Amino acid sequence: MTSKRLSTEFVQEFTRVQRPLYLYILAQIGSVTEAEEVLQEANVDIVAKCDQFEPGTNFLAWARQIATFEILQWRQGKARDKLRFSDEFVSAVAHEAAEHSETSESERNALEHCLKKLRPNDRKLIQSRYQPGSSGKDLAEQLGRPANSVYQSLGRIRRMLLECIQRQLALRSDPT
Amino acid sequence: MTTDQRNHLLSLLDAVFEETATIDQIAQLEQLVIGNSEARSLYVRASSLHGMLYWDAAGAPGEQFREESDTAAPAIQKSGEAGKLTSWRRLAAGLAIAGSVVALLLGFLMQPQPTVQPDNSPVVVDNNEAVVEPVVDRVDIPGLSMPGIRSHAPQETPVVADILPVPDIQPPQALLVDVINKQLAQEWKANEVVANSRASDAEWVRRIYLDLAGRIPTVSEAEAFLSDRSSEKDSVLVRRLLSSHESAANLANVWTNLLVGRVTRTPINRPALEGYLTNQFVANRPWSETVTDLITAEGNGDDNGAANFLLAHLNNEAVPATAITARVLLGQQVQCSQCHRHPVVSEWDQDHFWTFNACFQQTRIVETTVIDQETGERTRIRELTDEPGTKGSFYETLEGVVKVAYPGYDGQEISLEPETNRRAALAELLLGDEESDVARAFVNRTWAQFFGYGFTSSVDDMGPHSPVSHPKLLDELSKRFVSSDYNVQELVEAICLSEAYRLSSNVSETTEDDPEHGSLPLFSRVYVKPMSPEQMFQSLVVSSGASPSQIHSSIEMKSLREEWLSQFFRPDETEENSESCTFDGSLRQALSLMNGDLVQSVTSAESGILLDELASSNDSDVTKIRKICLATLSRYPSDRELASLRQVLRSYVRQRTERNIPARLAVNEGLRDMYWAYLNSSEFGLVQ
Repeated sequence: MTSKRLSTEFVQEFTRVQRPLYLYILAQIGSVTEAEEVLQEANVDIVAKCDQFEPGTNFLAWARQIATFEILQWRQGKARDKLRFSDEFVSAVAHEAAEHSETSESERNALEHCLKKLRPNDRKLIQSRYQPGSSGKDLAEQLGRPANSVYQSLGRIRRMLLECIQRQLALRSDPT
Repeated sequence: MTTDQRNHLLSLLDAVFEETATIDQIAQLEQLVIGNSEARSLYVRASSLHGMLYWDAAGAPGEQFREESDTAAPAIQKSGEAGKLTSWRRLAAGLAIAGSVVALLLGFLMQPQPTVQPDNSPVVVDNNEAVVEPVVDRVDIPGLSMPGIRSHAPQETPVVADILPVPDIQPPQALLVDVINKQLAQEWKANEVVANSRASDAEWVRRIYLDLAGRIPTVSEAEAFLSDRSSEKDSVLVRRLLSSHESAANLANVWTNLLVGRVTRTPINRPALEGYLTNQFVANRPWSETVTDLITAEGNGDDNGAANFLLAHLNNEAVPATAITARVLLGQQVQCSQCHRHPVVSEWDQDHFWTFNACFQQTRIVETTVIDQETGERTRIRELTDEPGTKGSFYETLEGVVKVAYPGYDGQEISLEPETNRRAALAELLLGDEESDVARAFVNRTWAQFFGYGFTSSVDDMGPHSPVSHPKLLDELSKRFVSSDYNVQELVEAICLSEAYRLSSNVSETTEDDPEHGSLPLFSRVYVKPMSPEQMFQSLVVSSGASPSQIHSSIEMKSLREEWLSQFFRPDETEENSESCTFDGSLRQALSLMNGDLVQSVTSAESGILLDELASSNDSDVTKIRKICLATLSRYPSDRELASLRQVLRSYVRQRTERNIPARLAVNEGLRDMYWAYLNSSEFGLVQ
C-alpha cells in the first residue's frame, strides 16, 4: 500500500493557493457552489499528484493545470445544461482568469479596505447577502423587500466595490 | 467598450450572480465578453469580487474581516453557524500548522490500520514536520472497506469448527440460531477454514447498534454494555433493540430506499410509505402481508402509504413496476428479458417478463385536482385504481413479430375473466407456496444486511444461474421463515445472536474466506461494510451528544437528513426509475464530509452537546479524550493512541498559550479538533 508523505512546504503552498484557485475556477464555471465542488475534485487530484510537483517552480500554475482538467471534466458532465457557459467563452476568459489569479493577494487586501469604506447599511446588506447559505432571494424575503429592488441594491454595492478595488490597486502599484 | 455596454454587462452579471440569468442573458453576456478584451477583464474582476465575498463570508482568515462580521447584522443562516468553507479552511489551517492536532490525527487515523493495534500504528510527533498520510490510493475504490482492513493482528482465541456444538440428534424443531451455527460450522470444516476470533464487546456493540438501530451507540449506551458482566447481555440487547421503534424505523428506511429509491422523479408521498413500513415492522406484521399490501394497494398515497410503491413505478407501460418488483421483492433480474432471452436461464424469456407485466395492466393512476374551499389551494391527487378488463401486454419479439402475453407468473396462469383482480391473484401466486421466492429473497437480503454478503454474489440476482454459497442453509431459513408466517423479528434475532455474527471482522492472514475478491463467502468472519449515508448521518448526530430519539421524531432533523442525503443521489435520466449514488466512502467523500455543514455544526461548541459538556467539565484531559473516542468509535483509545493524543494536545496547547490564548480555551479547541479528526477517520465510516 503506497502512502504519500506531504512535506510541510507542500502543505503550506496547498493552503495558500486555495483561494486564487477557487477564483480561477469560478470565472469559468459561474456558480459559486459548483466552483467549490470542482475545487474539491481538483484538491483530491493535487494531493494525489503531489510527487509530480517540482519544488521551486510556481505551485499555483501547477495547481491551475490540474484544475483546468477538472473544469473540463465538469463541463463534459454538464454538456446538456443549457445554462452552462459555451466553450468559446471559457477559452476566451481562461487566460485572463489565470493571470488575474496571480494578483489575488493584493486584490484581497484592497477588498478589505473597500469594505470598510462602505456606508454601514450597504456593508450590512452585502455581508448578509454572502452569509453562508444565503442568497439575494432569501435576503429579500428576510427584509420584506421585493427581490428586484434588493438585486439592484446589491448590484450597486458590487459596482462601488469594483471601482474602489481598481483605484486601490492602481494606487498601490503606483506609490507616487 | 462604451458606458452603455459596460452597464449592460454589469447588469447581466448581477443576473448571473443572483442566479436569475436566462439562457438569452447568458448568450448576451458571452457575446460581449468574447469580442472585447476590456469586457473580458471586467468580467474576470467582477467574478473575482463575487467569489471573494462568497469565500470570505464563510469565515475569513483575514482578522479584520472577522471583526467586521461581528457588526454584520441580520444573520441569515441555514444550518450550523458557518458554511462549508469554514471547515475547509480549518482543514487547510490545520494542515498548515506543523504538528497540529488535525494534521497529525488525520495522518494517524486515515491510515488503513485501525488504531486498536498498538504495534502497527506509527505515530510521528514532530513539531517541525507535519506528516500527513492521506489514503490517496483509495480514491477510486468504491466501498473503501475492502482493501482497508486487510492488515489486522492475528487473532488470539480462534474458534475452531470442531469445538462448536454439533448435536447429533436435533429436537424436532431446532432453534433457528442453532440451525445457522451448525450449518456454517459444517462449511468451515469442509473448507478447512478456521473461524475468526470473537469480536471484542466494543466492536460488537457498535456493529449491532449500526445494523439494528442504524446509528452508533451513545456514550452511555456503549458504557453500559462494556461494563455489563452478565453472560446474557448480548441477547438482552438484541431483544431490546429489536422491539424498539428505532429498529423498525431503520428497517423501514432500508426498504423504502429499495422500493422507491432516495430521490423519485414521480410525485409520491415517500414519508407515508416509510411510515407504513415502520408500522408494519413495529408490530412485527408478517412480511407476506407487507408484500401483499405493496402489490395490491389501491387509493392515494397519502391515505395508503403502501400505494406509493406502485404510484412510483407504473410509468412506461409498468415496465419499472415489473422489473423492480422482481428485483427487490423476488431477488430476480428480469429487466433484460423484456427484449432478450436470459443467457443461462432459458425459461426467463420475453414471455416470462411480459406475462408478469400483464399482472399490472389493469392498474391505472387517476389524477384529480382538488381545490380547498377556504384557501383556494389546488392539490393534485394521484390514485391507484383497477379497471376490470382483459387487456394483455403487447411486445415485439426478436423476430419482429408483435405478440400478446396474458397475466401469470412462472408458468402459472391467472384467470382472464375481466372481474379478476390480477394483482391480488399475483400476490397469492407469489406467497401461496411453502417454497416462495419472496421468502428466499427476503432471507438473502436480510442476511446480507447483517453480514455484508448474501448467499449469492448479488442479492438482486438470484436464480438458477447464480451459485448459492450455503444452499441448505438458505433453503432451511426460507422454509422456516414461511412456516413462522414470515416472522421478520424471529429471523433477524437468530442472525444477530448467531456465533458467526459475533466474530471479529479482523482479517486473519491465513483465511481463504475472501468474498471481496470474488469467492463465495464462508462467513468465518464478519465482512466490513461501509456505512450507508443514513447510518453516517445518524451516527454524526448521535456522536455530538444529541438524543437518538430526536432522529426519528424531530421534523427539523428529518428535513436536515433529507437535505444532507440529497447531495449524494440524483435520479437517472432513464425510464427505469433508477438513481445514481455518489456516496462511496472515498477520499472525495471524505473531503465533502469535512467541508459539510453537518460536520461543521456538530463540531461547534454551540450545538454540540458533547463538546459543550467537555468544555465545562472538570475531568482530566485523559478522561475527556477517552470520552471523545467512545462517542465516535464506541471504544476506548489504546494506550499508545492515548499517549500520542495527549502529547499532541500538549504541544497544541503550548503553541497557543505562547500566543496568549488562555490555556482552558486552547484545550477546548484542541479537543474540538480531536473530535473532528475522529469523525473524519476512516474507522468512523465503517461498520466493522
